[in-house]
Parts: sequence; C-alpha cells; structure tokens
Amino acid sequence: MPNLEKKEKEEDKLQFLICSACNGLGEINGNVCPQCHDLGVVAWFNNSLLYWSKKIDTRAIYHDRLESAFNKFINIILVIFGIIGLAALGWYIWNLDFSSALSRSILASQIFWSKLSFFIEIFWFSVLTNMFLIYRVERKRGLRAKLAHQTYETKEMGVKLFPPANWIEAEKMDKKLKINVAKAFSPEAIESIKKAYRLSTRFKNLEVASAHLFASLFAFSKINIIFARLGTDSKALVERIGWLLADLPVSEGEIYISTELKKYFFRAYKEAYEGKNDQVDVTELLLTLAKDNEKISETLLDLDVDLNKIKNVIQWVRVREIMRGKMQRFRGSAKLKPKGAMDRAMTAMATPHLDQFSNDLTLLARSGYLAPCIGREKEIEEIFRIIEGGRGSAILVGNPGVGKTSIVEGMAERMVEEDVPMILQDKRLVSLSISRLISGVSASEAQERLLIILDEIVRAGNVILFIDNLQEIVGITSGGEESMDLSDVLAQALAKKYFFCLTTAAPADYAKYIENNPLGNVLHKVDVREVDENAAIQIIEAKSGNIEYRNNVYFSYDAVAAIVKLSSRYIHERYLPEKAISILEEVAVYARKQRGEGAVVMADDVANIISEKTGINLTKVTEKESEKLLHLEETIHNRVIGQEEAVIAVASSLRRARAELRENKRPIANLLFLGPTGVGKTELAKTVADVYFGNENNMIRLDMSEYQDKASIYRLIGAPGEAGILTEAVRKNPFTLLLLDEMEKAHPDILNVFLQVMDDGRLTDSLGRTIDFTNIILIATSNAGTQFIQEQVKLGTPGEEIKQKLMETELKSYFRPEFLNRFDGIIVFKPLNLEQVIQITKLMLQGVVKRLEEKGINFSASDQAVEELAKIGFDPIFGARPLRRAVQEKVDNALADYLLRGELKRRDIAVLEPGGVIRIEKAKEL
Amino acid sequence: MFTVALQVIIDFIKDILYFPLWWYSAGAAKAFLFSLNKIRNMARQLGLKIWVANLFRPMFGQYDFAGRVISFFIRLVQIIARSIMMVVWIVLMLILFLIWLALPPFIIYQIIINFS
Repeated sequence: MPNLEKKEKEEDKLQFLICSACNGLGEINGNVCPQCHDLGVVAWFNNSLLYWSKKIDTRAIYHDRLESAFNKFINIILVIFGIIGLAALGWYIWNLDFSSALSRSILASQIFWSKLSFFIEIFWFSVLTNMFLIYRVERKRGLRAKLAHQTYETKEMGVKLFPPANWIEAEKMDKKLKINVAKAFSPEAIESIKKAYRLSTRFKNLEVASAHLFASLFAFSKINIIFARLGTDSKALVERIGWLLADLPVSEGEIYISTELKKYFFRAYKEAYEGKNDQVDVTELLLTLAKDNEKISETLLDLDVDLNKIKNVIQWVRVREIMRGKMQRFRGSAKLKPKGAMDRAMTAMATPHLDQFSNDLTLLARSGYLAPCIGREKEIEEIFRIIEGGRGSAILVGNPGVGKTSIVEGMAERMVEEDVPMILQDKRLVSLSISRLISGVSASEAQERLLIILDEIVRAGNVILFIDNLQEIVGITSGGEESMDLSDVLAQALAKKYFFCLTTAAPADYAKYIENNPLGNVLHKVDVREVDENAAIQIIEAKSGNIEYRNNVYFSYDAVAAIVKLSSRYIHERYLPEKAISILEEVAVYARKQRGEGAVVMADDVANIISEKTGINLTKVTEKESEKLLHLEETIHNRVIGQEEAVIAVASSLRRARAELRENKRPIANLLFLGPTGVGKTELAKTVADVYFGNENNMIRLDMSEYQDKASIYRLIGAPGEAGILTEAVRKNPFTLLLLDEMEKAHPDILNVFLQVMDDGRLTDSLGRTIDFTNIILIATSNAGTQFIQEQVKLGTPGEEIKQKLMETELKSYFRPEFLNRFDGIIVFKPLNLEQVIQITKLMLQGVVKRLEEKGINFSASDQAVEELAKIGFDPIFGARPLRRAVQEKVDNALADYLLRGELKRRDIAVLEPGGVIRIEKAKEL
Repeated sequence: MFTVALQVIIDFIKDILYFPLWWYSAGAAKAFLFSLNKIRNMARQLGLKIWVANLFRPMFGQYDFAGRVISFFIRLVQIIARSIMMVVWIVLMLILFLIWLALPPFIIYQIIINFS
C-alpha cells in the first residue's frame, strides 16, 4: 500500500501533541486544564510549535458579534464627525467678511490659526477623530498576522529542532518558536468555524465535528464558486451534507470543539504554508477536509469530485487573483517605459528602416496588447542565461502551437517591467517581418535592406531583434555562384555579437535549413516542448477569464480538463496549448449558442465539439447508447449472418473500448479473422467500422498480398524523406479501422512492423514522426488453414478445438507464435450452410428492395424463389461470394430490362417467383 | 451577557489609551515608510541614476567629438535639473512626515486655545 505509506510520511511533518489530562479539549469540567492551559492540542510543524488560542464558544461568538457591531458603530460616528468638522470649517470661511482687509489677512496669516471660534474648535476636534479613525483602520489591518514563510536563507540554515515530548517541554519552548495559528486565519475562515459551532448547537451535537465545518463552508462565496466550477449537482451535495450531519450523535450539554476538528485547523495551516499563502482561508479548510477526512472525501468522490480537481480549481481561483495583482504591478511599471524608440538613457537613435519592417513588441506590451504568458518561466530563464552569459543569440525550436511566440511576448512583458537581467534593461524587443523585408524586391535589394537594418540596430544599441520563422530567410540569394544567401548576411552580423537576436523555427525546419547553415553556428538552440496536460490546464484556466467575459458563459472544471485531455488525445497534427485554446474559444461560443448567455460549459459540450471535429463519438455513454451497446450483437447480425463467436468477440471488445475499460497504450482491439473466403470476414469488418466509427468507409484497407517482398516495408512507413501509405493514412485519420487482408501473404519482416503496432500502439515513420495507433481497431484476415477448417467442420469438430489445432499446426507455418499472441482474439469463421445463405440472400434482396423503392417500385420475393436463388449462389468453397453474382444475373438484369422497356413503372409491384421469373403486377392508373 | 458588553467597552477604552502610543510608534513607522516609498517612486521616475551612469556617453548615438561635448553638457543640465526636482520632492515628503509627528500636539494646542 504505497499510498498509505505516503500519507503517513506527510503526517510525520505535522506531529500532534494531545493533552492527556483533558483529552485535547482544553478544559476539565468547565475549568481550564492545568496541564495544557486551555490549548488541548498543539502541533509540531517545520521547527515551530503551532497552537490555537482562539476561544470559540457561545460567549466568544457573542462577544465577537457585539464587538464588531460596536466597532462599526464607532467608525460610522467617526466618519460623520469628520464630515461635520469639514462643514464647520466651511461655514467659518463662508461667514468671513472678505470685503475687509482684515478678513483677507486673517485667511492668509497666522491669525487664522489663532483666531478663536466655536466652528474652528469643532474642526480641530474632527481632525483628531479622523486621526483616531486612521489609527483604528490601520491597526486592524496590522493585527492580521501573515503566515511566516521560509525564505531561501532560513531553509538553508537547516538546524533541525525536535518536537516537545510533553507539555512541560512545550511550555518551556522559546516564544519565537510558537505560532498562534488562529491569528493567521482569515476573518472568513474564523467565521466558518463559528458557523460550525452554531450549526452543532442547532443540531444538538455535543461535539463540533469536521462535518459541521464542512457544511458551514458553503456559506462562503469562494467555496460556492469552487463547487460551481466543479459542476457539482447542488441538490445532491446538500442531501449528502444532510446525511453527514444526521450521522452525528445527539445529546444535551455544553458544546465544545472536538479534538479532531482542532487538528484540521493545524492541517489547514500546513496547507496554506505549503501553498505559500499569506493566510489560512476557507479554501485551505476545504482542502484539508477533502484530503484527510475519509467520510468527506468519500462524499465528494460520490459527487465525482476528487482531491486533484479541488486543488486545480483552487489554483484556478488563485491564478486569477495573482494575474490581477500582476496586471496592476505591470501597469505601474509600464508607465516608466519610454513610448518611442528612444531608451531612458537617451543613447539610442532613430531606426526608420527597421521600424518600416517591424513591430515593436515592448511597445505593444506596454500598451497592453500582448496576452500574458503563463508557465513558461523556465524557457525565459534559459534565454536570459544565454544572453547574459554572452553566448549571443538564441533560436527557439518547437512545433507550431507550443508557445514559442508566447514566450517571446512574455519576454517583452518582462522587459517592460524591467524584470530582466541588466543587459536587457532599457531595451526594445523588435519583431522583424521577413515577408515584409523581401516582398517586392530582388534578393540583392533585400540584402541591402537587411544590411541597413542591421546597421541601424547596431548603432541604436537598444534593440533586441526577434525573427519569427527564421527558415524563411534561408535560400534567398540572387543566384550567382559567388552571391551570398540572405541568411549568411544575418549570420555574419550575429557572429560579431553587436546585438542580440531571438528567432524561432519548427524542429523539422531547424534540422533542414538552419542546423547546417552558418546560422546554426551562431544561434543557441532552446527547445520549446509541448506543455504537459497539467500545465496546459493551468494555461487554459488563465485564459478562460477573458473568453468567459466575452461570451458570458462559465467553464466548469470538468470542461477545462476535458478540453486538454480530449484535444491531446484526439487532435493530432496540432500541439498543446494552442489546440486546447482554440477548442476553448469554440466551445464557449457553442455553449452560448446552444443554451444562451450565462450557460455553464460542461465536459459534454467539449466532447461534442471534438466529436464534430474528429468524427469520433466521445460524448458520455448515454442511456440510449448503452442500450445500443448492450445489444450490439443484434445490430451486427442485421448485416452479418451466423458467425456467432466472431460477432460476440467483436461486440465485447467494442463495449470495452466505449466504457473506457481498455488499455490506452494499445489499439482498441487487435483481431485475427480466419476462415474461408466469402463467409463474412470483410463484411463484419465493415459493420464494425459502421457501428464504431460511424461509416463503413471509415477504414484503411491494405491488401497484404501487395507486400510480399522485404522492400515493400518502405511503402508502409515511407522511404526516407517520404510519407508512408499506412503511417500517413493513420496520421490523417487516427480513428479508423485498419483492415489487413490476406495477412499470411505478407513478408515476415512486415509482420514485425505490426508486432510493434499491436503491442505499443505506435509506429515511427521515416520522417521521424511517431504515429498514434491507439485509436484504431486492427483486423487482420487470413485464408490460412482454410482447407483444415473446412475438413474439421465437416467432421463436426467443436469450434474451440478447431482453433486450438489450427494454432498448433496449420498457422505455425505462416505466423510466429509471438505474433499470434498479440491478438486479442483469433476468430475462426466457419463455412456457411444453406440456411445461412438463404438469410444472406434475403439481406441482398433487401438491397434490391431499397434501390427500387427510390424509383417508387415495390419488390417482393416468395420464399421458394429465395431458396432457389440461394442454391444457385451457394458454393461450399467460395461461400456466399457467388451469391452476389447470382442476384445480379437473375434479379438485377431482368429488372433492368423491364425498366428500360418501360414495362415497370411507379407503383408497380415486381414479384420474384420460383424458376427465376419476375412477374409484374401493374398498378392502377391514377 | 452584561460581562461581554463590559469587556467590549473596556477594550474600546484600552484602544483609546493606546492611540497616542501607536501614533508615535507603529503609526510613525508607517508614515515614514509611506514617505520613503513616494521618494523611491520619484527616483525611479526621474531616472537620475541612468543619467549619471551615462554622463560620458553621447546622446542619440552621436559618437563624434562635437556630439560628445554637447551631450556631456546637456546631460549635466539634465542631471542638475532632475537633482533639484528630487531634492524638492524629498523635502516635501519629509515635511509630510514631520506633519504626522507634529499633528497631535498642534491640534491639542489648537483645541485648548479655542476652548478658552
């Protein structure tokens, strides 16, 4: 049980000392406990002794209430008095006689201050009360203790102190080591405890327990916002809280805070400390209750809320507060940044050419046009290190959408705040547009332009150059043998290190154009990787505010998590966080259009959008659909006759996939269909494609007989520098059925390729891209051992036995055992009997009925005629394959003749009769 | 409940008694920090440090002799002007702080003379 161990370890960090005399209650029979002096429980945490010394009982609650009302009253009186004082002063000045020289001099001179008057007296007194008001407000603000956070230095000191073993030691401890946790609680958090106390009074529970606190937390908007974000059903929540409270024992007597609850106060403090918060707020109380209280965490789990979700939502609320603070600070410091091209030291010079071909990013950031950059501190620091270390310029290499530009914009923002290394302070970050630079001129003129611009940059001395998509600059040359490439011009300038340059490129472009170019030598590579899912969630959370505001909708946490999870799983080709952000925007509009303004965006909305984009059914399994899934066999049998075993195997693997019970690292199902030709192998595969992927054409079909030599592997995964047939098809449509016909005919080396696909669910193509195969259904068909199957079926051997024998003997010559082992199911299709062929004939004739219906003509066939047709079409060796031809010849051809001759018209009935005759019943003329 | 009310009143009286003490201890410190902060902001805004650091660097990239000489004097003038502004601001802020310190006796004096 590694989970339990971890929990215990965390508990180690918070060691409780519970008073043995009073059992942690702090009092014995209404008197203060002589041993612990009313503390009851203390906790040792991080070299400090935590204690709780705020009394919470009826008297204390009453006292706090009275005091708060009284204080409000006093403050109002003080404000009123301040106004009266000002009025008195005004009245006094108003009544001065300005016509006399004396009054004018009174106002201006010292006499004003020493002139005696009742009104002036009032005014001075009001100044005193105003001072008193300032004192009260400021002092109250000062009383709230902030959590003492470890700084880097204190952490390094590393003196390990030991917790007190008993109460005598605890009492003797240095005062500096003792922390009154209650002081660090926010007013709201204290209020929630009081509410819990009142709640337990109301329910006549002697002990104020964690359930009371949990219930009382919902009186606070912060907690309600969290649960709204979590999309919790409020009715169910209220009901469950009711159950929790109903579980508690009821009795009469003096109500007290339970020792258990006190422990949660300390745990909440620990949460706040670890979360680097200034105060212990209601959110920390919620967090610790959800984390450490088994009943509450179970209750929440029943509502589909786990600890990680709560943590992420709390983080969400906090990220917004942090961003708001950041924005204010940004505005403050942005004022100091110069508006134009000039630096504050006035050493720069105008750069008219550069300005013509560029955007000033710092200027844009200063005016607030750039979106804030979140969670990319690591990359920005790396760029700073490169620049500061004098190594020159950097290139950000990453796939489109991973946030390269965002990093550069984040840098621009930090440059505005001057939160950058010395060398970057008081500089501009200017983005040069290559397309503008080269448009409309020849290569040599473009070079001239670039040279002038670079010269300007060097002379100005305050420009950091940014070039997006650097590969665009490579290969622009006037063509002569000795003529220079545009990229060489830049490379030479950068090599001198007169200025810094930031550039970006996609990995493939970097490898192809830049790495082996002179530019590659002067640019230091910074890898920008796709963010992981958790970081993407945080980015989405930070971006959501703006989008919510614009669309007037609200995102639930589930929706945000689903956006990241589903887009990373189902949308390939694009990268996080860009793809998630675009879904975020789309889903907000979708929810508003569907349900109007004020709608809450749920995970299902996200699934809908992504389903629409990918064509995969991702929505939650609805009741209607689960009904359909449970009866999948019947649905399949509508198209496939017989082959019970095969249908069951396929149906159950589809159910597993839809209920998300499958392994995510492998394809949805790997199936091998064995059997003679014409028994329904391909038909079943088509049906699966129709049922699961929505369309029977949604399949990639490879005839493996075309891959008989070793070299044909390159057709599958691509020759170097080219895309392969298989990999490209799956890359473009990862949700598909992969049908490998006549598997036994492929070269053994090719089978090895599929070994990898079936085991790991991925394949690397010759371009180095990893293709995801985890959302395909792989079906291989094979005629191997057909003879054997037919013989055994004739002998009446049971199906399981045939399969066993087949694998032990016949198949061995075609497939290696490890290959066969990779299949989830090896399904033997049995030869069809006449009964089944008749049913198939009926199905085929249904097709004829459908086609004729379009022309308004009815068609029917007598049973005898169907049987006759079936006998013609049935062949023990070719199965039902000749049947199609028989239907074509006997039915379709005759009907076509009638239609052409005009003997078969709308509303007529065509009847297929024994002997292959088609009789026509003429409809009445209208 | 009477005892509770009494306690609130007593607390309030204690509060009043602590008021002058606070004004000259924690309050004064706060006022001082406020002034200091204002001075700091002004210093950042004037960028005096930047001007001094770049005294010998020519302005607008004019690295020729004439440019250097002109720049030096322009910068000198700027530095002097900015220094004066800075000094004035510091004095203003100090006065603000001194007002904080002087306010209580002054007001009490005013109340007394007006009363009599």
